Amino acid sequence: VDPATGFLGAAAPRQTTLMRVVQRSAGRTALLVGLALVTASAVLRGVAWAAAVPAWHGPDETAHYAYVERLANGGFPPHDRGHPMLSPAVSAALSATSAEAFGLADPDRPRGPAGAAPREPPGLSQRGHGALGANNYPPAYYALALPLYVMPGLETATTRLFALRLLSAALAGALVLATFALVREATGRDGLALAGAALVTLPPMMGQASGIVNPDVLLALAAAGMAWGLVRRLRGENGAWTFALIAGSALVAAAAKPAGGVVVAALGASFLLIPAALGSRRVAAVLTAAAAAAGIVLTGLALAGGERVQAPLAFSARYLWDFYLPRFPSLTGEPAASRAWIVWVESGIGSFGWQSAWLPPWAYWLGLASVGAAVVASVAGLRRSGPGAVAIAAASAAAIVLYAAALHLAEVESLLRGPGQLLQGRYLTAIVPVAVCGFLASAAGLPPRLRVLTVGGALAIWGLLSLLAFDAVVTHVSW
Amino acid sequence: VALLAVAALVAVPSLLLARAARADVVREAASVQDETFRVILSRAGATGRMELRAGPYPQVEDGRVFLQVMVSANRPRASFLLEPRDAHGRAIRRCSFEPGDYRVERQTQTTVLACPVPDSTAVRGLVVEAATPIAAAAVHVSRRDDGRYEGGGLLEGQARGVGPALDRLSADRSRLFRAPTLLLSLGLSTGLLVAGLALAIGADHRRAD
Repeated sequence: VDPATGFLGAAAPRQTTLMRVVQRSAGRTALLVGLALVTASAVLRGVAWAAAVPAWHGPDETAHYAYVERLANGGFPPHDRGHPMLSPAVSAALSATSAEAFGLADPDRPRGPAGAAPREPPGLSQRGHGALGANNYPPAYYALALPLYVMPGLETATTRLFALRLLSAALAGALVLATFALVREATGRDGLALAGAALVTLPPMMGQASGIVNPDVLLALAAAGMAWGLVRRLRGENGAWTFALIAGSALVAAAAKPAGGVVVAALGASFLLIPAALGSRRVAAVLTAAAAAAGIVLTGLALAGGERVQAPLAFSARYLWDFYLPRFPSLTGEPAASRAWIVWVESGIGSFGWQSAWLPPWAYWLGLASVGAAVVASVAGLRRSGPGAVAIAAASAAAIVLYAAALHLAEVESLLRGPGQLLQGRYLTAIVPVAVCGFLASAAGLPPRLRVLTVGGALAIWGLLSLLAFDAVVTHVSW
Repeated sequence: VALLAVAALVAVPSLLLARAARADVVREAASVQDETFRVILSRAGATGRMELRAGPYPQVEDGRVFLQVMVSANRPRASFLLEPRDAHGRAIRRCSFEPGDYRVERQTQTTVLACPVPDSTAVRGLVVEAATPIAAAAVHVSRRDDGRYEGGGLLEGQARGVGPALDRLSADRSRLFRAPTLLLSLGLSTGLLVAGLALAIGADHRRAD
């Protein structure tokens, strides 16, 4: 542990002999090759998911595609209110790919490359109006997609859709690199950084996000970049590059999705306030007092507001329980896989990602057990870690809780107002790189053998879940 | 490293393709609580034996496991054996049907076989043996005679082999994203991940030495 910063320092042997120099150089080359392979693996996993998910069946994929289509044809969806209209090209594509039959898992959906659906004519009009549910989205992801959309040789909406899916696959590669940098900064260890880079795209939801037209993976990339900058700042790197990294990533996050601002706020607040509170009793006291005051005010409002305030609060609490905590089958007689806490293992296909291709029930329990084991290992690791690692782990955990709580409140508010917007679940993908960072920063403190076992176990479990989910989707779609 | 990577590259898509090559269509059905559950049905082999995993079913008074199977109306000569199984694979009942014991619905070319079970909640599977390959079958538990399903699943036979499997994996996808792309990118992705991690672990060990 570096006494100046409290962080675990990177192994830096003194190069006193030629052999050591050669060994170090060979190790670095192997690391770079390993990183390149893991990055390529994530990109190819995105391509595989792009091939596995039927056309137009990524969550809200028609809306996200329509956004790019509008941009390519001189429109701007945030300005298009009312009268949404799909372009003739998209309408024809939906028919030609039997999108409705796949969506409803119709037994008569096509079972081969030449289905019964009408052929999709090339060169149809791309004129439409609005971008359905993506109307209020900021434009960063869609602007990045434009070069792929206008590539020569793409004559139909379906071929353009699959071309756009490649952007998400490429962004998954960038996410791997950003997570490598983030974890390396947090732990000072190359091996853990590579493990984090491999781990970040393995959860099935991340796999699906890497293979569909949707800004989720861009938001996760921006979150990883911002967290990297914030960890650099924690380590005392206060140069222009650090601040450019934080500001640039925050801008990209805010321009990626409406939830981007919430990610920025959760990360910023957690990585600024938590380390400050851990380092100063006075700051900790002020924060505790502020939290207590907020609690008292809220309790007072709830008591004074009567049923009108208490009912939504009770609903919020019940919904939170229903969402994240398992309803044990032995207690309710219902199958374990019916609960929403499985989002971390969710394969996510169809409509919003809720109409899922189910994995065998034991897979969900395995995912839950893995997360539980990671939490236990993290706590054990932190007991042997310096204050730097504790600050990073605590800030990461706080960011996850803050972000999930903000999504929950927004979701409950929208549910109480009307049909509601489902915000938790897939939206949590944005925080996955931070979760990986927090886990590995804590695990770095474990004894070497236990560390290898913990991290290797996590990689093995999530690698298995990744393949199982892929298989579930292909099975769901193809037979 | 190379061996590990090649093994992963070959094994993962091969497994997927092998499953697709042997697959019958699996259907999901709604139970009375409107919760979906999965009914996993293994393929009907040449001997006409299949093992179905089904349930959990609700408590049904005087419950019977029904099996609806396709039978030729012109030659109803097949005999059937139904064995509802519990969670441990033990037979709960054993019901056999000879050609004269069942009636074939001419319009749908199907017949419904009923096997009484003392406790419908215990049913977790059904072994079916038929003297003929079974093309399609539905299984459900019900005490009603009006044919209304109270839960169950459906098995549909379909063409087996690598060719039909590749076709199914290519169903209505853009030309460049059909089965070869799917299998190759999945295999390469798994192989490269294994190779990347193995290389890095090796490098870590060398440095530790």
